[in-house]
Amino acid sequence: MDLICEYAGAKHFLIARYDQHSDAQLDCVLSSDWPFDLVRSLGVSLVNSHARRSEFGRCLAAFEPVFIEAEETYKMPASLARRICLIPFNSGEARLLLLLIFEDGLFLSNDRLRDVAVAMAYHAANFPDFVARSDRVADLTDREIECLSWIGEGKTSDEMAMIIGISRNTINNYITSIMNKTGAKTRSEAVAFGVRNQII
Amino acid sequence: MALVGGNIGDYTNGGWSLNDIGSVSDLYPKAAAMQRLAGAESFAVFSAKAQTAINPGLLSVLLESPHHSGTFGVSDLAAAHSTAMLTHLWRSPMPLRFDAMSVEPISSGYWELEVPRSKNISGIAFPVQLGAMGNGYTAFFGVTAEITPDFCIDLHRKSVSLMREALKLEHTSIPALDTLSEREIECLQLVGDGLKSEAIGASLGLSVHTVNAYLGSATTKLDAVNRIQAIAKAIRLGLIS
Repeated sequence: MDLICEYAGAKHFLIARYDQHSDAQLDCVLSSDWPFDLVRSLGVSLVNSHARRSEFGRCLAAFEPVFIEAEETYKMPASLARRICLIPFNSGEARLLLLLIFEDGLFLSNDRLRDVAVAMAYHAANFPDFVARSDRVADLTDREIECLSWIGEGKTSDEMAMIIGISRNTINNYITSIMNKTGAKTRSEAVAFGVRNQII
Repeated sequence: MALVGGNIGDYTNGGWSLNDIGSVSDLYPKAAAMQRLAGAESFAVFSAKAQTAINPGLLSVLLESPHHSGTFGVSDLAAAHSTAMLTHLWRSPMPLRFDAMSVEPISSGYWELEVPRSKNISGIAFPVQLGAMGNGYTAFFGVTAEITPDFCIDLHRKSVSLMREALKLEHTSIPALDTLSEREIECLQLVGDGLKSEAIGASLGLSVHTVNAYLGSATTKLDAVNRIQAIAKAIRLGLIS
């Protein structure tokens, strides 16, 4: 990590995983050497706002560095620049975010920061525990995921019964179980859950 | 495993149509510049579709350069290694080196990236995973440049921007994006949040019939069979969250 920071010319780093986080919790932060109160305030709010973007927006933003000016309300140590660099990157199943703080008065090359994104993805792949599939997905059985996929393709229970070759009642049981597990009130919401979490 | 080789026209569901072939091939010079950098004989850009419970994964060719017949080429690569490449794509960002027999990551970790120069490296492929969309590989055949960490990162960075451009082109070619009205998108969003038509009507101040009409027209525009499939498509396209 020190090597990567040095290459980027950054003073402090923060790495967070944003694809399975529940709002405003510190546990999405995997590793950081930011001053702690900054992690808690600024870090978490930046991660949250990135997590709320649409999937297409995220895809376009991946591996692309952007700069964000920290608001005056956050107290930064004097020697550090208020411009924070935010680089989303993907490694394995995980969607990650690298936040870098620089010293004041530095000129940065975007290509160099993009290199950092790729190097970070390589580096993160060395920690399989961190980039494994998120747990929420594991709750559904293979059959249930299969059913949910077909619902997402617009199939009705009767059609699914034909396709999979089991009875309509069994299908409906699976679907009830999916809705229980995902906490969805309607089939539409269950499908939305599946797509949002990349299950289907 | 189903395989589509070298034909963009086969990509029926992803939003490509005949008009788009021109725009994707605009990326050709970029890919060719990377090929020269790698000292490679030829290149190919693949787009990958994830494997799901009901869908085997799919690796289809977006772009390819001509290559000498008789050497290990694009269709050979897809035929021999597409399963392994698809599995790898969602597991690790590490570049792959491949030849006719095998495909393997060039090393286990970035900082130990020291590849012995050997004559039998037939090619190198860079996995790009942008998210739910815009995934694939850039592959270079007959690489003669020395494979160093800097070389890898440089080409990998260019691969990522290439795939991003391809995704943008694909996305702007979807007609539904322009034609869906604000009201239709609003209704879709609420359906995705689990509301029934009655509740949507109440929260937007519309009658149930109006809501259903909006959802019906949105479903048609998204080329979906029912509102559930419309929701799935709308989320994948990023129209709603």
